[in-house]
Amino acid sequence: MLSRLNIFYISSLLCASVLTYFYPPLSAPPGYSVSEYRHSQPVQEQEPRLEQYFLNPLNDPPSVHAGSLTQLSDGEVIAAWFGGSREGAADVAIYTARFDAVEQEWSTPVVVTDRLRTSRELGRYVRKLGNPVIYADQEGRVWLYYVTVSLGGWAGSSITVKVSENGGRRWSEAQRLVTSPFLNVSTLVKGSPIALEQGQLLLPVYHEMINKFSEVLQLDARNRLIAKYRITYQPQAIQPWVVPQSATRATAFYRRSGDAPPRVLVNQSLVSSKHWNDLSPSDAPNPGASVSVIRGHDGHYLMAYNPQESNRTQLALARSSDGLHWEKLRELELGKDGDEFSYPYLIRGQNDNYHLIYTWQRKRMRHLIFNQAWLEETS
Amino acid sequence: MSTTFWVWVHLSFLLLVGRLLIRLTRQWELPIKGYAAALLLIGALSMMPYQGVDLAGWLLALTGMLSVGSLLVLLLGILPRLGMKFEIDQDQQRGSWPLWLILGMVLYPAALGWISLDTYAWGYDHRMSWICLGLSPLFWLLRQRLIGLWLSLSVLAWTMELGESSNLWDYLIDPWLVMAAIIWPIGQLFSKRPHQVGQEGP
Repeated sequence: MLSRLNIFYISSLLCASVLTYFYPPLSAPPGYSVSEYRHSQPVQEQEPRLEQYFLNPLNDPPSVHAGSLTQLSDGEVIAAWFGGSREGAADVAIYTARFDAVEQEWSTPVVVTDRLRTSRELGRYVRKLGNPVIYADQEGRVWLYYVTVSLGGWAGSSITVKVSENGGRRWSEAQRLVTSPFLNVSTLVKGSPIALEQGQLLLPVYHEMINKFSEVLQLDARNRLIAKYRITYQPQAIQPWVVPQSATRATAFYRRSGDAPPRVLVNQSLVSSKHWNDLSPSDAPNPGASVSVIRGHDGHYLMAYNPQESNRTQLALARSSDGLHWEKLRELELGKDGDEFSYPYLIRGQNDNYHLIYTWQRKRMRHLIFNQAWLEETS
Repeated sequence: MSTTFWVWVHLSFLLLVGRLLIRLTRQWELPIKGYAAALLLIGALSMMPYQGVDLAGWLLALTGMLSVGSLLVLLLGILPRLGMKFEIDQDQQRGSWPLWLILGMVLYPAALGWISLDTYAWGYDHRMSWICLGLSPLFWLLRQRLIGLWLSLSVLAWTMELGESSNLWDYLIDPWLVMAAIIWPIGQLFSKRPHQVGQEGP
């Protein structure tokens, strides 16, 4: 006669087998296919355009950093960044603002979430918040990924996400992405997500504890993590920015870290997109600072970066056809010692425009709108 | 936080604090009913809020999600204190600690970037769940019943998405279980010493 334990065991085994067979929780396809890759397109004759804005008043809050941008299908641009008394402080909150394309002005920044609100929504203690990445997908939903830390410094980070179904006006409760088996620590986000087939997203992330390396996370339409791929190992390269070349090919650009040469690092995925080749240093300098790269309206790569090997006092735009050899097009900021212009986030907007946001002296978020004609004017 | 994960988090708090208090309640010569009452109190405490987060949430921030393996080990420690006989004896648990240690060695160094291979990514592949389900009855028949039960319950919890993770590894093991698996042989060594001394006696 079967004991109660035997009956319990057989029941659990049967249930697990039936559920795994009929309702597998994850059905990740092998590799992935990018749906959002931008072809070059004929650039219409336009007057050069450059517009410059600040998103937040000076010293309100005293310190801001790590901005990101996305454009909705109606043309409205939304920005997200973090701000507080200083980076890593308990009062740091995630802010958003909206750019009215008709009025040509930014709305007053609003706090989307702070440490205490995120703690309540996640049901756990959260010590500080960091890097937000905002992204409007092809279904019209707006995703806000941001970094939360419960223990230690930034190496103890994990990624939290909110979603908005109404263009970033109201947000869902926060949810955590579990990306690491070691207490789910040390995964950070900085680069823009990429749309995949079937409503999936590819989110570039990086790991900082013990060894620094980069990964991409494959998220399904319900924002469940269904696969992840390590895209660098050595040398140390973080803050990946992935640029699709076709449905199955992509190039990634990295901030160098550790003993890596002071250059923007580059690698490419092979056809399956699951395997990435070794890192190569480009000829663009990198002081250990974030870069942002997109495929421009003319089909070339366009990069916003700090064109120095040792500090962040300058910010520039450069163009490349292969990702390795860069031609500097525009100086955006030429500061003196102690200045900081950093963490650029570049998107390709509608009507041949580009939008760029970056940290201006850690005090304000700066937004530029420019077009291809303005870029071509100097080249 | 989903309802199922809320239950998971509070159950983890109850089992962990309840297990840690066993020695203390024995010193106090607390009867079985007294210990059961203490468990109820711990369950209520887990829901007590502090700065907007309940105590179970504070513990969660420190420990991360406890795996099915850890919950089973904690439960096996608590049931005898409640006077309940569990049909898995020490012999049927013995193989689990070396296995958890080996799995920890496979998982954590790779996940922390010591090697280029990412073994954690295997946990998103449903083939890993079928391997676990295939091995489970094998261990059960070999009388390693804790391993058999742990494998089937881990896959069941993963399939039902009870926790916050979509990776099967997070239901199988956690760093605390692997740490316990590292300490376990040392504990065995000390627990055997008096017996061995007795054998070698005059």
